[in-house]
Amino acid sequence: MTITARGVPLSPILRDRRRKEYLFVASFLVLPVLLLVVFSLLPVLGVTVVSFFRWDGLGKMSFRGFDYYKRIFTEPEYWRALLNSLYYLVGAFVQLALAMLLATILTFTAKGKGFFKGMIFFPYLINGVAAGYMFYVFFEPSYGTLNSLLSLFGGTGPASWLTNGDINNILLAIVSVWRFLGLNFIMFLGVIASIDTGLYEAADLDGANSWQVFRYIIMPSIRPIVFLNMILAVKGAISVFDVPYIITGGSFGTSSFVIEAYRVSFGQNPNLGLGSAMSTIILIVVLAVTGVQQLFFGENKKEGTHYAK
Amino acid sequence: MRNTKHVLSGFLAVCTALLVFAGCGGSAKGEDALGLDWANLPTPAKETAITVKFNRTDMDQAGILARYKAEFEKANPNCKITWDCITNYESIVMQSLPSGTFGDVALIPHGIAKESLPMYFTAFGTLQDFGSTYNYLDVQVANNNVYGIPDYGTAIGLVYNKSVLRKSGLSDNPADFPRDLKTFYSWLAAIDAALEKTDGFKGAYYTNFKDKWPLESWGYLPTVFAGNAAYYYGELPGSQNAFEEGQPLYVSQEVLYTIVKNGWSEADPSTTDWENCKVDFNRGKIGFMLFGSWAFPQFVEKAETLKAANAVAGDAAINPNDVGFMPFPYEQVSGPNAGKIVIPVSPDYYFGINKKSSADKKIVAARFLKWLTEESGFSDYAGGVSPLKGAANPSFYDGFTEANRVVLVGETSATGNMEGKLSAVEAESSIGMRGEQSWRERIVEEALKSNGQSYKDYIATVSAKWKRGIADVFGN
Repeated sequence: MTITARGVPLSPILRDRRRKEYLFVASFLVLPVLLLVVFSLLPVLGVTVVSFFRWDGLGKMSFRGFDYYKRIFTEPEYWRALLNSLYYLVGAFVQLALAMLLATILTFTAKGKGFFKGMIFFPYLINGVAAGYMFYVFFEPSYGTLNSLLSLFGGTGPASWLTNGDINNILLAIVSVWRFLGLNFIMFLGVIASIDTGLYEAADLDGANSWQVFRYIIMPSIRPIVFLNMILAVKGAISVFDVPYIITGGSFGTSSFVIEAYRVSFGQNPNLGLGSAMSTIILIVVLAVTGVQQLFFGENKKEGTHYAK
Repeated sequence: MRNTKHVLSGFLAVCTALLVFAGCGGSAKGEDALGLDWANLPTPAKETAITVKFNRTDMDQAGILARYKAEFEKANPNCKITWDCITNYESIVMQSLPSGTFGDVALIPHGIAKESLPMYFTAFGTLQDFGSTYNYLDVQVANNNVYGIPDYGTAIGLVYNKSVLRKSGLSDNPADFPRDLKTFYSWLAAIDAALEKTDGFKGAYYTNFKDKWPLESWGYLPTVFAGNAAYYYGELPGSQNAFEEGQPLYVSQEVLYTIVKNGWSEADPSTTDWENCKVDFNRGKIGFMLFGSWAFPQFVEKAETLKAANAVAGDAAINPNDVGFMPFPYEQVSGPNAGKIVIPVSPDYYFGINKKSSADKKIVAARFLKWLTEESGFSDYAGGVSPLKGAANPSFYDGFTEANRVVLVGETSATGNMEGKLSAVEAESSIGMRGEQSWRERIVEEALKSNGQSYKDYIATVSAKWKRGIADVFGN
């Protein structure tokens, strides 16, 4: 029996009306749920299923169980590619700090604001392939920008930047920071602009210095965006693809997990089972990270604009 | 419990869906045969137009395809063709196979397994019928039926610059070309020593590493070293010890390691550039490159362009005749081909006819393929050997003659329990022979690193995967 919030049973007429309301509201959900099922859930399930089979994409499938998962964690080229994500993860946190700093500075600076905003955001607008090619030319040893600049100042660059296993991943992470800084920056800029300016005036009257303003007014206000950006950073680091793929093609130890998955699935000898197993692992990691985020900073624990004391 | 059930039933539903999906292409059962007399093809009753899917966008831009179209339509009444050139050919056509939307004539994608051919393509006829007309048919044959007509065959060899050889004190006479690895290495060392100090010198050998696909050429060398046309498809997939010392595969790939390790290749393989290498090559900054003969005309064409434009001082002196093409220097020591160099000739692609096309379209398609292979001059343009039996070699194959003790062979496809196994072992082990292969790229990477693994140590890890792949494929 349906019971209302106050514990009083509903009359049959009211119950009927409520059911109709539910139906009406539910009907709005049909389309989005259908889209979600067809374009997200089914493909995800499909990929998971394929990861247990040997399949070239056209011929017969044969069951392999957890073989491909075992292989990913036992063969160095796969898990090393996963470890390369750490370079981008560190880069992403540097990028967040830098974006926050620049957003704060540009909120309070009057001169050249628009110019710097544009300059910082611009790289994000460049097509990924073009940006990759730019840096490929940048690192080219004989006519490339970097070595030309070095020789201008009397130095000599190495004969090759990108084949050097000690630095190539760091260089690529820097390119990634350069490229995605603008996105973080614009998000921070937006949320900082939405802070009530009265708070700054009050802080000013109370004699707060700029660090205190940042720590006690800006930081608490932008926390949800900071966490959102952190999740995006982890997700981006795990699934990094275009920067290393275009600049080095994943050679010289700069491969990423997605590059490996791509080459395995769509290379000359496609092994969709192995590729799908790799995709499933990426999915699990991203789900886990999102879960952790929900656990600590989920909707219920929204802190929004309560200010730390 | 209820939850588990739901998940399970969902799982099964998806499985079924996938299987149905995978089986889609095969739903129209039965083989489809052309049933035409290839020597006397009929004329279509009414005007019929077909679409040809093709990968040579460069020939399209150069206007050559338009010329072919005009010539073919003039010579064949009621026949019309439309070229559809695709840059990303392989993956686009692979995806359109199940739906059958790949035009009426298409190059058969490399990724398709032989046993799947009857699902999408029309059989031209039996191997016996067509074998007397065409070479190299073997690879695209299923159930003794021919499913593909080769476009042209290319021999594997070294593109070289005659002026670089002369400057390095080496002979450019085909009779003096190296015939073993030791001499080849001494040539590389000589070029390196002579040209190392010259401005912009790239290397005695140029790997074209960055573009990845040029390394594919090394996948044709195992046949050269084995000296046996059946080795590649017939023996390799069952060979547990293929990557062990002394084996054709092991020795042939070691050449790449040796070249890079000795510093005879470019200093920075991460920034090589295919288009630019044609310029560098013609300006005398590169000695050798391993390619199929298809590459030769492109280097000659670049030489002509550079000479005509004369953009840089000295370009006027570039001589297109300085571009040469020599057989890979590895002479057989024993066996039936002792004292000879065995060079595999492999078609780039095979043309297939869509099984879903109408009877009239199939007639036009057949007439077109006959015309293309017999009259168009396509194989000459492309720098390859005509697939027609008894056709002469291209003129630039000057080192590839009987007199020079070089034999050209077409690789034969596998029979019996090895049939179709090579691609299965390649996919299962992640160690493929042709196409872009990361294990081969790692050979260059290890050779380049100052603290890299030795060839022997590195290839042992590859060997382990190869063995596991064979065990997996033949084990179940």
